[in-house]
Amino acid sequence: MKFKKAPLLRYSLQFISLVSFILFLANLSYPPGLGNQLLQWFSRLDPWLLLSELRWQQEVPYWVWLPLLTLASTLLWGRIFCGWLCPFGAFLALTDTIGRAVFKFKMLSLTRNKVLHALQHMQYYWLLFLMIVFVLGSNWVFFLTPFALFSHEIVRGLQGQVPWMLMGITAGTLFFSRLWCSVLCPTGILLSLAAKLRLFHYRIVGDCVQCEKCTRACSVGAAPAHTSVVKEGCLTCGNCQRVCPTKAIEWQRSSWRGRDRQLVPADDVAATKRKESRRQFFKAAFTALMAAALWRKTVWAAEKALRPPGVLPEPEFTAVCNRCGRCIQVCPSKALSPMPITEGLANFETPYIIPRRNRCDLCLACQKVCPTGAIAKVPLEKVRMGKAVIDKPRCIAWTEGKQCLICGEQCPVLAIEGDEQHRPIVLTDKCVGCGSCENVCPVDGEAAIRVFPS
Amino acid sequence: MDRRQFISGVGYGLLSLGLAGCGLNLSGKSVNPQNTQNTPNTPSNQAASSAASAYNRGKLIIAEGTDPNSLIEKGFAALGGIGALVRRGATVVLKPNFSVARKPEEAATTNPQLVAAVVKQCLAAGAKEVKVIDYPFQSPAVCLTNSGIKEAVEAAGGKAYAINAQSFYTQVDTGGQILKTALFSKDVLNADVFINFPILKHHSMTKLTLGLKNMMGLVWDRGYFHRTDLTQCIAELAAFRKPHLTIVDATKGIIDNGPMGPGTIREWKQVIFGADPVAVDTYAATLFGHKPADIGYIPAAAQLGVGEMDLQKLTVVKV
Repeated sequence: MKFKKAPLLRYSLQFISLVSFILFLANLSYPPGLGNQLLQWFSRLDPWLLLSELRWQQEVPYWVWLPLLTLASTLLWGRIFCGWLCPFGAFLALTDTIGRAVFKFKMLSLTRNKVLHALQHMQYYWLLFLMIVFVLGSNWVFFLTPFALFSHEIVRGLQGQVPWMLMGITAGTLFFSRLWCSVLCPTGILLSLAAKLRLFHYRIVGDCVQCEKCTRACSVGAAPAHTSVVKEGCLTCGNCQRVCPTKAIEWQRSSWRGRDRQLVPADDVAATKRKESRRQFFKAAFTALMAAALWRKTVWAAEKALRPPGVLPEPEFTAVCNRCGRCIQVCPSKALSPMPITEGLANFETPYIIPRRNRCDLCLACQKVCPTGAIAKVPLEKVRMGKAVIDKPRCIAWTEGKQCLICGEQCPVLAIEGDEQHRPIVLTDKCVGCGSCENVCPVDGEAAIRVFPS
Repeated sequence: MDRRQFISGVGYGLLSLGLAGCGLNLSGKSVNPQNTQNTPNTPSNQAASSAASAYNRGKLIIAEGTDPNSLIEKGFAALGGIGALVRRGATVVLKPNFSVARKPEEAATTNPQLVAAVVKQCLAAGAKEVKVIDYPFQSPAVCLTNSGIKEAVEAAGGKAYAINAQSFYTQVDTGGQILKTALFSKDVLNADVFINFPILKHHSMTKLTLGLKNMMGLVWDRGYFHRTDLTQCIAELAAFRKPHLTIVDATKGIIDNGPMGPGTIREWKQVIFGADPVAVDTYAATLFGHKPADIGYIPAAAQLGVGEMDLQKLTVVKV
């Protein structure tokens, strides 16, 4: 592969990915257009989406080729998705570049590498933990996956809320490079695992002078400093190759037969490996135990909430929803808002409706933007979000005889009728639970008609 | 003469000069005391706030047919030409009904082609800008898109938007018995020409929604109307501010399940034009098959002197 044009191509791809992702997201509005289609394709590149679809829907989605494309590219070139295409990766790469330019002190660059290396082996324990939680039946792992995380944090910002996760990760990246990408990003680690089998990679073939320039240049701590081959976390960015003073690093096809040349004497490695394996076993066991113990806590759901029109049944919904926040962004009536983390990890960033604040106009744009099908494409006639119940003692038509049938007037599905004295009556079989009635009720404070989730 | 007498004398003098200016209409831009908003209205300029229309109040024009452009053209021609109403450089505000997210064929919102035809006429008459506004029940984007209003109005060269934020309103003294004050549309207060443009359709509470009822879309707190006395509030609102012209889209409308719809559609193939809002509503009510006296807000408004509800005293011209 020629690498003179490669950095340019990579920067362009990252730039396009980052800018278009943010622009499309910010421009999501009713009615959703082409930008939405591109966003859907984009986020379906994440293999976690496929896993979740297989686990909870027990069906192979029609877009299965998109995540498989990511996996295929990983099997060929390693985490090229993370290093070249991922918009969040692009954002963090930019943050890292800024961080390196601003904090030039040697001390910091040393700690940077130490932290990266020290934490690197944590990644598979973290993955194990996530996997156990996932298999047991909770899917909050989604709010950490790159498309969803970047997306819900941008939406948060656009909606005037504090994108605290993004701020935290950005700050972490300034000091510790792409620690998030190499150790914590669920998609990144999953791809790291796949990258162990990759066909092409960087390796040291020339004379290494142990200058460790590559180590300092690598933003994920994967440089070939101690082994001759880059670690599986490599983002295929080529920085190590570019900074190598002896041009010792080359992009090569991996030779599965030939053993990788160790830069450290083989006996030492074997000894540490034996010690490591026992330690690893204990760590893994501990992780599994933790995940099982915490599982119930993380599955714990909030009280039933009013969800967008057409959602899957609650347990499936929280499992399949990837918390990308697009439904929240597109909602023309601003009826959808993200659940705060205080409602439990399983519900964090999932959309819900507070009808007294804003009502659902049943425009169904949320169904069109949902990339996972958590908000299924259910026609209006079959939408059942909740049921309206009149609190007669509070209703001014029932108690004061006022000419108020505003709930009936504004009910979009004709589920509220007036009796002969214009007092509202809910026709339960027609009510879809959009919250128009509760929203528009002129009674001060809590409405005299309220919608309860079904 | 003491100082107080002198100052009030000057005040009255200026006021009468200002009122006289209304009749002169020299620059083509009517000197409307409402343009100086944000100050509480005194009773004297309140009377002037219901600006006189350019057209004969005793005349109703009924345009019959189905083609939107020709309906509007015929109507204005019979009224005496749009030039009498819209002067060069004027700002025109149209208040159609796009309160609900229904498609034009569902007949719950003012026909967008009719609205666009009026926008075109106004611009052809030299209007500086034509604003098409409503305060919809549902979210603006959905209502503006589904009703077809946004697309049609923008294609015709006008601006269509929802006045769904408090910043579109200003506090006014409405001077009614119940409706003493209200947050009322700034766009309408600052307009040179205000055309009310409802659709004739069923309404669960008031039987019919018409011109007078359509004015509720210019007020921020509609809940107050429902909490107090709906018909009286509508009448008092009409007394506060009369449109220069009311056009009722009676080409077709829903005759049940109003105002939200969907409902049974009936076609009348008519568009009603009139300077007197009560007269227009009276005619439309009879067209629908109701006695005008049964539509609470019509007699209530007539009682307040907003207009005439005796069709015998009016000239009805069919074109």
